[in-house]
Amino acid sequence: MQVHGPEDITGEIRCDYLVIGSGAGASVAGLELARAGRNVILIEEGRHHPTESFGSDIGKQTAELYRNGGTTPILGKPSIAFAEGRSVGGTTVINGGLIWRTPPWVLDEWQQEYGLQGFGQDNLERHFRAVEKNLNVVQTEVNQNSGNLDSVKLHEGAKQLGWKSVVVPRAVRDCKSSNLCPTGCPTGAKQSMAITYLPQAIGHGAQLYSECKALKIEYAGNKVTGVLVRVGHSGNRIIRFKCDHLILGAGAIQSPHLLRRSKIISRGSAFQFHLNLKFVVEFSDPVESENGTIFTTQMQEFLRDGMLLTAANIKPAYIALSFATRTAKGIESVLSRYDHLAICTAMVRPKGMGRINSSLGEQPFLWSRLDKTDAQLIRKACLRSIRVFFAARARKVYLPLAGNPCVTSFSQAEQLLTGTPAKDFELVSVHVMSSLPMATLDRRNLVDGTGKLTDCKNLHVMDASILPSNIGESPQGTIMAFVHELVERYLEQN
Amino acid sequence: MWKSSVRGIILNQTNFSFQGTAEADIDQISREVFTMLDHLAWFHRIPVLILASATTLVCFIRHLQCLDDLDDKKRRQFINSASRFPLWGLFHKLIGSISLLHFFDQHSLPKDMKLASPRS
Repeated sequence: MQVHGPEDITGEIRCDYLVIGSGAGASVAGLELARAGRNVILIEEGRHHPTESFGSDIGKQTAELYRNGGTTPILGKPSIAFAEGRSVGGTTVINGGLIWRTPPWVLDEWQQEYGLQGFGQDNLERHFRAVEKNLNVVQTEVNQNSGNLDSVKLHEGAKQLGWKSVVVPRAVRDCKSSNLCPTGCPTGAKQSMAITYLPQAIGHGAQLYSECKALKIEYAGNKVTGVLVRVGHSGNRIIRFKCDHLILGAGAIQSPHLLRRSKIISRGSAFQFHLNLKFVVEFSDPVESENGTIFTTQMQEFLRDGMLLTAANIKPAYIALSFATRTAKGIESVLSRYDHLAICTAMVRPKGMGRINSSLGEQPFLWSRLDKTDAQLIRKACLRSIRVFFAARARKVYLPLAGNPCVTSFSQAEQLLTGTPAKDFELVSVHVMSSLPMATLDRRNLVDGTGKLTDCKNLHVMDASILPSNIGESPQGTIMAFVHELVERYLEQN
Repeated sequence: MWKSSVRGIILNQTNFSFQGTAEADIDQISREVFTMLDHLAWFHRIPVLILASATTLVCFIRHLQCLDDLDDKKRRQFINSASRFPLWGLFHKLIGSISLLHFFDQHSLPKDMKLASPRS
């Protein structure tokens, strides 16, 4: 795949369609527009990391592949660690490659509450099928011989309780179980945008520029005329990219932040997110959780209540990370049972919202406020998870609370968690969305049902920002299917 | 001066008996931590610097020593009590997390910790 670097840019660049970003939304838009014969340029803030550059150096790759080196906080009570990708391919390079179809009740809700027409299950079906085919979405085999013993245990634990547990659909081709999904797949098995949609877009004539950070959208008479872009990670070389149409696909934080910095919008900076609760579980039998691959089964019994549970096969560094406030001796005593340990993640869909403050410069400042009911939701998710762990013959569970207290029975956990406020939980988020929700019913909406910014003739938003609310599942599949639909509508009219 | 705080936390977090943390390790991890902190936006970096400097200063006044010069017990006591303050807790967790990531990039678990060998 030919990716242009800063050295290839010498002066002003002109194109018909400029796509900002190269993640799940931007890549689909880039490919479909290029396939239709349009003159397309994609720009990406991060560097291009080809598959052969990925190794097992977790610390260095985290610094390189994640925004802010993986250390972006969403401040609030509690402060939430937020992680998103920043490289060619966006977050799809560092996620687990889970491709879910949008839950039908979420699509119904969006249709009724936001007036979204044509985004029902029937209409999106062909787009999901196209995405699944293009990304080779498969269900990883889960059995005693394929590693993933922690997933097998959770699956069995859930079944014992009579709770629904499923094998997850993942975008992988010939997975070698390197178990390095969060820092770039070294075998190219995970089908990120960097090895699927982007090379295809380039094959159809699109051009991709890396290390290009969009600083300001130039805007006159309700029309975008170009974008000022800083080229290269060091230095201050600013280049103008002139365009007739702008597709904003920089993600749910960066897209509204750029619009506000460019003074195109003055509001719309709220966002929704998912919360992850990370448990370290010690099983009575060895689970050798390093063998296998990330996220292979998912307990979905409470999906509708906004709760999921999955095992994340993972390296020792990540287990140690879960105990970052302990001393070396504390970490060592937990790690001494390393082959019995697994990290399991519960995901919840909170009602609380976040806010993006864009007045402090290039980087947005993120805040969140959880809803009163969220503490209850988090506690409930903890207790349901713990029930599964003990049904799966766990000996100890280290909780996602300050100091990582350890419980050895469900009743002990119940006692410990009763009345625990949300601020005491250690929370992580990797899914942010709905910062520019698409709607047709609400007159205050900033983005209409075609993804177009209402006050602008030639600017479309095509990333997680446009999802009307958080969906309670990994959003990559939904983002991609929605963008397929939006581009199709756009091409029909233009 | 504030680098002493960061080194103190790194020592506290990575002084594993199975490897023993050599001075060279600490230097290397410190460099990685500082590189990682460079990725932070200025408004995130400023509170980190203030907290780290304040920590070192308090430590210096109380013990006439820097955090990384304290013995293990005193260092642990100091970090435990400081961690009760919410922002310091965040700072400690940030530095601790980064240093653990880099430590495990350089060291693997010993066999007696029953690290499973990869399945064929």
